[in-house]
Parts: sequence; structure tokens; C-alpha cells
Amino acid sequence: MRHTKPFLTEETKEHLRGYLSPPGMSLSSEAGLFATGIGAAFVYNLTYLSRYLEAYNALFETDTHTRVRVLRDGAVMPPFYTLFDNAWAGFLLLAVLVFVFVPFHYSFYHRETKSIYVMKRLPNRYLLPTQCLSFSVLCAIISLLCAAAVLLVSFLIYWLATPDACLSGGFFSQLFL
Amino acid sequence: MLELKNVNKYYGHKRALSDITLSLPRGEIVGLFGENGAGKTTLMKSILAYHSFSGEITLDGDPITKNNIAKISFATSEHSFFSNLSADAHKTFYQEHFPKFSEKRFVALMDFFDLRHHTPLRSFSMGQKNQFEVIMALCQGADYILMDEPFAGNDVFNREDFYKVLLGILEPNETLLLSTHLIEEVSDIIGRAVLLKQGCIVGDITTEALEESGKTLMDYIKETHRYRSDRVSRALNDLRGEDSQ
Repeated sequence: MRHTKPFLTEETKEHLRGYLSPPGMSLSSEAGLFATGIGAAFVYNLTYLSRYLEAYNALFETDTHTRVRVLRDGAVMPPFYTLFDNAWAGFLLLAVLVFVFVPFHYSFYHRETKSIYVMKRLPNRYLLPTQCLSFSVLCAIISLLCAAAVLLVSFLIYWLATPDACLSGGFFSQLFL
Repeated sequence: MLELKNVNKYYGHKRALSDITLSLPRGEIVGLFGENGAGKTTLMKSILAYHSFSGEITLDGDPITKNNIAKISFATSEHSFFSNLSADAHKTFYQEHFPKFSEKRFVALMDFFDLRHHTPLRSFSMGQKNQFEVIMALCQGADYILMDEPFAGNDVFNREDFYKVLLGILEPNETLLLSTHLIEEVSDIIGRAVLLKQGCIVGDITTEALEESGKTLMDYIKETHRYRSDRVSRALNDLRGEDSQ
């Protein structure tokens, strides 16, 4: 049987964990909270789809004789940004909220023992701020990447699904207005 | 040499350290004594720059910064280990951050105190936690080892073991500043006693000088602190007097 090498060895994972949180702190509950936040932000992002579908359906009318849905004359899709509106707000809010983990991480050095004394005595001056900040920064980056991804996917849906005749401007003018 | 010059520390308006000037040459075992609140812990925390102070503290002539802080280790009764980590995980952590960490000493001391290597430290007894705290301070590879009430919570046999280990393993260039209330127990292992009272140094004497004067350490401390041996009987008499009225 062929054994494939794991992408991250246990040693590498342990090493990375050493930068993300204080020694001995489990990140599972924080990661769970963050995943829930990402899920909620995705759900909130569905409001865009609802607005888009409403606007998309408004482009059409049903022929009273043939009962076939046809494009209305002169129908124009509202600009992308008006439909997208604040659909990414969940991710942007999450990118700010994850910084509540910072004081939580710092307080861990005062829980049960005063391990803060060891951290303050380390020759590596960056480890303490790194262990307090990096998980939040990582979560914020993931949130912002998700926000960018949903913006892109939403726009692609808008651009590809809307009939060409109903698009009122060019690709970039729609995206960046 | 660890040198403190005119060190002052205030907590609000309360003066915790008052003009402390003290030198700790390499290779000395120094006992730091004083009542609760005398400033022993504050003095150690000032050396470690855990809080702000005025005055000057130097280590081998240089101010204490991240460049030379590894030369100082600290064991405290508050405990400074990571309670969710095992002893071996601490060894790995210290090896990563303190280049002079002594694995040989770590293994020997863990064996001597018969401590478990792979269980989280929160499952240790108070005595074992104290032992581990001291082990890490001794193994860090520091030239100056500060210990603040390291034996609080240990039984007398445990403490006896500590003293033997300390005397047996300290290298001639290692300095130990030991703060404790167990004056008589440590009198045989220290070479010098520093007495603090209300944030001031009120006594500083070598055990050699004490021997020459024919006094015990306890006598010296009581004398320096102007301890009134009749205060207990007076208090009792006062109380009895109150009762009879």
C-alpha cells in the first residue's frame, strides 16, 4: 500500500499552533465560533440572491397568448452595486469582531498560573504579541477573503445570468461603480 | 554582577521600594528576608522589569533588555508554568526559547523529584507544582536565579530535598536570590542575608560575619527588625486585663 505524506506533519501543526495561541490553549471553541460567524455571514449574503432573483424576474413578462415568458422591451437590470448593497456586511463585521479574541488570549496567561511571567522573560519579544494577535488577524484575513469571494461570485452571477440586452454598462463599470 | 542603584517603586502614593541599592556578584546564594509587604516580591519583579520603577538596574554592566533577560530566571509561588502543558512540552518550549537550557539538569531533577513527564501540570499536587517551578528556573541556563517563596506549600521533607539539590547542583558562577520566610531552614545554605523592611534595606550581612559575631541569622533578623520578644505576653496581659474589667 502506498503511503502519502500528510500536507502538515504533527510537528509542523504544533509549531504553527505555537504562533496562533498561548501554549496549552485549545483553539477549538474559538475556531467553532468563527466558523459559525462565517456560516451566518454566508446566510446573510443570500439576501443578494433574493434581490437579484426579484430584479431578474422583473425583466420578463408572460405573453398572454402563448403563455411564454419573454423579455420586456427596454428592460434594464439595476446596477450590480444596488443589488449587492451590503450583502458582504456579515464578513466585514466578522473581520472586526474577531479581534475580541485578542484580550481573551492575553487573559489566558493569567489563568490558573502567571505564565505571563515566562512570556515577558522570553528573549523573543514578538512571541507574546504574536500569540495574542495572530489568530484574530488570520480570522480577519479569512473573513475579508470570503467577502472578496462572495463579491466576485455574486458579480459573476449578475454578469453571466443577466441577458446581455439588459446590462446597462461594461464589466468593470458595473463592478466598481 | 546584578546591580540595583537607587531603585524606587510606588504603587499609587504608597512607596513599595525606597532607594534600594544592592549588588549581587556571581556565585552567591543570597537570602532575601522581610515581613509580608516588605517589598521582596516587588524587588524581584523590578529586576525582571515586570513593572515600572525609577532608578537603575544593570546585569553585568548592561541594562536589562530582551538581549540579556535570558540570564535571569524566576521561580514564584504564584507559578509561572503553563498549566495545560506537560513537563516535556515545557522542556521543548524552553529549549526553543532559552538557548542555554540544560536538558541534562532537567532530566536529573525530574527523576530526583519523581515527576511525571507527560501529564498536564494542572494535575500535579501543590508540592509537585512548586518543584516543577523551581526545576524550570534551575534549568533555564540563567546566571541569576530569583526564587520568590518557592517552597510555600511543601512539606518539610520536600524542602530538605530542595536545599540539598540547590547546594548540589548550583555552579560556581550561578547566583541565587532566595526570598523566603523559612529563615532557620535556609540559614545553612545561604552565604549572605539581605533584610527588607517597609521597602528599605535594613540589613545586609554575610553568614561568615554572622558566625564571627556569634549570632544566629534569626537573632540578627530579630535585632535588625527591633523585634520585641515581650509583645506577645504584653498583648495577652492586655487582653486578660480587658476580660477582668
